[in-house]
Amino acid sequence: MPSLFVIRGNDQGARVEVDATPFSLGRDTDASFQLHDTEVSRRHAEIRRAGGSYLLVDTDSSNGTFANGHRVVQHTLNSGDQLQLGGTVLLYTQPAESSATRRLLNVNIIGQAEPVDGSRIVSSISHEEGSRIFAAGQLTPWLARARNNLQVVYDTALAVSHTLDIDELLRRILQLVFDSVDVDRGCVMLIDADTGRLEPKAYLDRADSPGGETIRISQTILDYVLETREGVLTSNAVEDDRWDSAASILQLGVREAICVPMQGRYDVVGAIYIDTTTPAADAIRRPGVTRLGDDHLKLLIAIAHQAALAVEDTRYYSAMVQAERLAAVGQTIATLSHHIKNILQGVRGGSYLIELGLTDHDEEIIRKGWDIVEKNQTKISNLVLDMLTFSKEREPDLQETRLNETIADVVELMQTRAADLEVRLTWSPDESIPMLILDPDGVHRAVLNLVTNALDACDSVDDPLVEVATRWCPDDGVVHIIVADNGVGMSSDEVERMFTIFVSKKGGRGTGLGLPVTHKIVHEHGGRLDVETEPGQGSRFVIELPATLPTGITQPHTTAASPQADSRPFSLDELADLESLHGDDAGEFDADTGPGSDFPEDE
Amino acid sequence: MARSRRVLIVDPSIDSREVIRTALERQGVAVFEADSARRGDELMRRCHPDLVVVDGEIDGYSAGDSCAAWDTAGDIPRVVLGRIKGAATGDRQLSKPYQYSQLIRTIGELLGTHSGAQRPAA
Repeated sequence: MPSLFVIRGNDQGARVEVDATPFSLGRDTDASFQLHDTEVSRRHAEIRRAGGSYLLVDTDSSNGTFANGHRVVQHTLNSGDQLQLGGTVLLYTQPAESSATRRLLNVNIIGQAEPVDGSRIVSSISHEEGSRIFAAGQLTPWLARARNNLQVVYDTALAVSHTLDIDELLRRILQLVFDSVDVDRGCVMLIDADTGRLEPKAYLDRADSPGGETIRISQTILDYVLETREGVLTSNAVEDDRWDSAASILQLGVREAICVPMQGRYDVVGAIYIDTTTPAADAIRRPGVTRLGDDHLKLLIAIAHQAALAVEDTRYYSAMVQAERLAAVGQTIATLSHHIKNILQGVRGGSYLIELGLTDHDEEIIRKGWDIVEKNQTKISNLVLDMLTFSKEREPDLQETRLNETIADVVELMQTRAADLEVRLTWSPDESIPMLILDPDGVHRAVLNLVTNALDACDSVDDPLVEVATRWCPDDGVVHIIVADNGVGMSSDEVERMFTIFVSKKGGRGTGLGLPVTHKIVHEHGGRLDVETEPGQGSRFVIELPATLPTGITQPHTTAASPQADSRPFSLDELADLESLHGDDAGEFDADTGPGSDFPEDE
Repeated sequence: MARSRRVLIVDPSIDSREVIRTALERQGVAVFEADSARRGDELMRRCHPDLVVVDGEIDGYSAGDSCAAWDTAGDIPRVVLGRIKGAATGDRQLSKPYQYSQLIRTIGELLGTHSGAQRPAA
């Protein structure tokens, strides 16, 4: 059965079998193979069966279908073709045999004492020599072609191997062997780190394989391969014409096998074994014809070497990920404990003042203490909300929102803090912003974090000023929320690290959660966060959100009704219509608190 | 008494400074506040405090660069909040989160003005 392997694109590493035709490729969820690529059309192309071959047919895609670099409308597929749809590149493989269904089977490693099937080594090639096929050299056409295909798939396999577990990786490698070499059965064995013995990890065979369901591999041959680090080609056929006298051939046919070491950077990590069986009748008809040769042996040595590198990489990577994860958990706990400890310290301070005030009957001290308690209560609530926002994979809770009200709410909430810090906080809404579909709580949080940072940033400058504004950009179908300050600004190093969780340039005042949370919320809205800043020159953050209008029109310039659809997607009348359409909903929002308030309690 | 006792607080937390100030002023202690190591150095020279309270998280302090500036060779007692590098053995250390009543009591003991002992019976 032909298969497709994604070499490049969002689906990189995905492999799919063309199990039924027509086989559709596209962005649609019900395509036979869904490609997650915005440049791919919903129904981009199809693979159709035409007699004994397969055809690639472009189904009126917007960006065209390419085979081996040429744009095609229809193309007869050959194994090894590279197909490009949008930004996605796929490798097409079609095994020589059509009946290539594979299933799992058993592997037995036969001890030295047991009789084997009369196989002996007919050829052996060292690991070093075998690996040379990836260097330029004189190759037979078959080997050259196989090498080229393999190179592509290797690069991909190595690129994706970091995300895979080893068993999945081995399964793919074996699949790769089956796609390249006409063999009946194969297995990959890895050396168990504890016992030092080879353990079968992945096995495949073709459904109609005459070899039987159990692979029997001679321990003698395995030992030879592991000790000498040579790949071997074995056969139970004898060299001279007396082959028919070998009893095992009459029973089993001619079995040719290749067994190669998986030589990694330092050690042999395992072995790959493949075999083919020619039924006795065929073997008798064509004596001396072999199905496996030195080319196959060389290729398999090279595959095994790459596989060993990938196994090593995956092992190192797993160990590293594990270590990093533990370190990250430790750091998270340490950082959160630290913040909570500081907040607790604040609460204790407030309580202590209240206690003093009560002892002295001094209401002013009680008030001071209470303010501190309240301030720390806000801090812990912000910390918890930021933690929740950051930790959860959440979809924005989209609803009709008057963006200006949400932002006005943030500004109002922060005025007290601005006054404490003696920072001027101004607010200039763009009144032409229509009702938008947004997550008001999310946007509130995102902007709150920016304003908090802006206020802290201009703590120690002359005439400190924080400006908050909104801007409606109907031509681009986006809305901007701008938070600018004339504070300390950031160096390029600091800009680079600003979205790194728990990295705060505010020392004890910052949690290092604010900007990562803002970034996450903006990203969840499909928007972007830009910053212009220089040390000493202040910072200007711009949140750009795609303007989704309540009518379900995602891109305003798709409205056909507008007479100047290209330059001005909405006339003021149309905007007014949109507003009035949703006038009922608008009544639900209280003008004072707005829809996005995290702190709905009355002041 | 020639002049009131002076305490310098070097602490980045405005809450913490306010609590300590309120509690100490109530006892007639003059309080000077610094939110950074640099400001702490400055006040150290100008105000001649009788005691210094230093928070371990003060910028630049834990790095050791300003530590020497108010390392007063033991003639001015220090109370260190949290852990800092280069803390002298004579320093009183309170680990975080500490109780303010304990901190104020410690300051009182070091200044010899333990409020509990001096408070007149009602």
